[in-house]
Amino acid sequence: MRKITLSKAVNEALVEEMRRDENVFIMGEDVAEAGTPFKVLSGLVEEFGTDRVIDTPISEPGFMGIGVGAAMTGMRPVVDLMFGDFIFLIMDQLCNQAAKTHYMSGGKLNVPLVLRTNMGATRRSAAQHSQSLHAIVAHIPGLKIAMPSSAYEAKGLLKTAIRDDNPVVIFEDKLMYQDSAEVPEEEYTIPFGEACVKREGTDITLIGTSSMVQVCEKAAEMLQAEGISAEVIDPRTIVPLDEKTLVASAKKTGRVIVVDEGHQSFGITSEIASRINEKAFYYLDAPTTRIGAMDVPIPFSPALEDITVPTPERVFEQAKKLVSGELIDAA
Amino acid sequence: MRHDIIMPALGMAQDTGTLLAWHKSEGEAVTQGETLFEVETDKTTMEVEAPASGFLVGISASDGDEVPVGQVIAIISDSADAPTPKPESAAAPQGSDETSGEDTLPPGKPIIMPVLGMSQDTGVLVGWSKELGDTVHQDDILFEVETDKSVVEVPAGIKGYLVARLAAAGDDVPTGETIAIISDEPSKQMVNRAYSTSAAPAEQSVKPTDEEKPKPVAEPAARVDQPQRKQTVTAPGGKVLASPKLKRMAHQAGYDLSLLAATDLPQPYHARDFEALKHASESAGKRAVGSPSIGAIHTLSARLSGLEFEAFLGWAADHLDSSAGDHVIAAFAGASLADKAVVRVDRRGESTTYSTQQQLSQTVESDDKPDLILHDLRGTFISSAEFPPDRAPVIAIVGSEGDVTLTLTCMDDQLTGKDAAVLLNNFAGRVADPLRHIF
Repeated sequence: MRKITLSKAVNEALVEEMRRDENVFIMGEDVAEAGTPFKVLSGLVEEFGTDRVIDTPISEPGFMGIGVGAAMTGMRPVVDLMFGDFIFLIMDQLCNQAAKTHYMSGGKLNVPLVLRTNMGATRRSAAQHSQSLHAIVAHIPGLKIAMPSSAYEAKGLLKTAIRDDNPVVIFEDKLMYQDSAEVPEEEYTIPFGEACVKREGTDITLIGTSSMVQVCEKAAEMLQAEGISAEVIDPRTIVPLDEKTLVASAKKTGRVIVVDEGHQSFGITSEIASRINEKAFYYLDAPTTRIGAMDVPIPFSPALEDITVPTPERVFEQAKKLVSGELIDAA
Repeated sequence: MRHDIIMPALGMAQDTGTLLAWHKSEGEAVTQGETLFEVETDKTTMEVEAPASGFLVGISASDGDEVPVGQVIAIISDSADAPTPKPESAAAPQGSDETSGEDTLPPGKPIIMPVLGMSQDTGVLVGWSKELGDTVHQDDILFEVETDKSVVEVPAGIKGYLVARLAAAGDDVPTGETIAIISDEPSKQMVNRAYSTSAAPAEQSVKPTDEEKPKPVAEPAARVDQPQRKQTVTAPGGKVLASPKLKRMAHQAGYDLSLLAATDLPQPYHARDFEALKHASESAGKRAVGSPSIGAIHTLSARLSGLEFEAFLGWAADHLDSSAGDHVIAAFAGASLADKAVVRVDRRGESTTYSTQQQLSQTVESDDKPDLILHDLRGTFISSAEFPPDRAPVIAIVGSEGDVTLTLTCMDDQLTGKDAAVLLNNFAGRVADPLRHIF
């Protein structure tokens, strides 16, 4: 099968959906002429013109509000938020308007809006351009959250998001845009709420989101060298969450580590770990543990930044502790 | 001020200690409480702390040396370059410290305050059993010690003459401190005084690094109320730490997780320990059948004629204003157990509790917790009954006047097999022949 980059996969998904449905349009900062700082949207404005690939002023609340209104009135906007960190600027448009309009209108209005944005550290972008803020929007009912872990997921999930009648936020890892993966030529979509077992194993389950799937896969390789069989699961969407697959794996292996790049406290890892404890408790042979980013602003210092976010080594060490039956003391 | 550092006496039977390692070197500054060196005896390894701050000088024993107890092996001095008179190397009596102006102790073997409990730091000297100058034999009681747990008589352990008593009745003395000296020869230079830290043979605080402290004397164990058995290591609060998965597996298989505590597997236990649990459960099952343990159940039966009892009840109903025989049977059972007892009688679904005494008229209803439970099934169709152990020993009474069967069930910690037999026999005797109750 051919291999393409995640950037190209996103581009293909948008092209295919814009060709399929004339109501789909793109809006955001530097999306047309510049094709975004990550060159994800290169060539789109040439095919679809400036009416459907719209460069906006530098006003996130403004164009997000326009996007919500367009969605309410029948369009299918794909709003491009240049950095996930800017999500704090559009909280009212996203969380009070987009997330709640269907509910507040008694079902008369839909908001089929896609917010494409990014996450992820280790790009030396410092504390205000390196955050992974998906947990903040995952907390709000009415929003679906997709987190692609490769080019294949990026394309399939984005196409599903565009066709969904509800607001969806897609977090792409900004360090993965140039990562290649096998992506079929033919049309496909990935349904929401279906986790993907990336690797089967029997001793421990590693649940990772976005780029943390790669981290878990590397840790699984290291564990295999030690004779420990690790299962790696990618939930693919955080909302809705495929609890069934995660719990089944937890029951099978009896040990779980949840890895996510958001800050560890009050984050995605806590939510998933908690559901596993609730539903698989009597099958657990070790405490379900979490590995997230440290609870500090992401440092600019490369040496510090690299150890702030989860690494394969940390996952590996933690997995060995759990499998060996070491008492995990919360102290 | 100069402090002699001696090889401490960590046990009564200890003659020498092996200096494992110095933690400080010659001339080095030391602070009170810092570890100076480690000693190994035949029982344990201990860290010895500096009794005072100063400079460690005049080290006369090296790592690995076996040094007689009481021998000075270094000095803590005020300055690093102070003249260091070579410490005397003879096994001199401990604590002879000329510079301190204390009275000189006669030579002999030191007797220390023994360690009688795991957590005991000091012992109170209750009193001396020997006078100064007395001849003592090994097995003679030399003194009595009170700990927070018990009062223990401590034998001398060695024979000779009691030439020094370094503590008085009522003194609270740290364990390991010398409180007497027994000499081979009678001495004119005898010492009798109360305990004081400055008069102690050495101001060294000894901190055990091992759970097991030395035995106080050669064979005191039999006299000690608190046995010095090594305690089983369990989780805080006696809780067994195990994974939810293993707990579920054990529950489904009907195994008791606490059996794993007897194995040397570390806690928390996990699913992988299930095989060991299975093994422990199976062997525990066999043991229970083979020999009675603490949790054993005793079941005893007695068969007898109830004719006399029925006749007695008839008489009692006429003379003692008793509508039912319950209180009579309760009194018979209670008296079989003790002079006074509380007996609950369950009869036809009703429970009545009696406080019983020998005299029938003083057996009255009570709300106390029963010492004995009677299930009176006489007059029913039930021909045989045996109840499981309850909070008190249980006696089932079945049959009719011609043929009554009494079946006693109890846990071993409620009544031993012997006491159970006595109880049932007494009770059966009273029922078979009620006149026995009176005599």
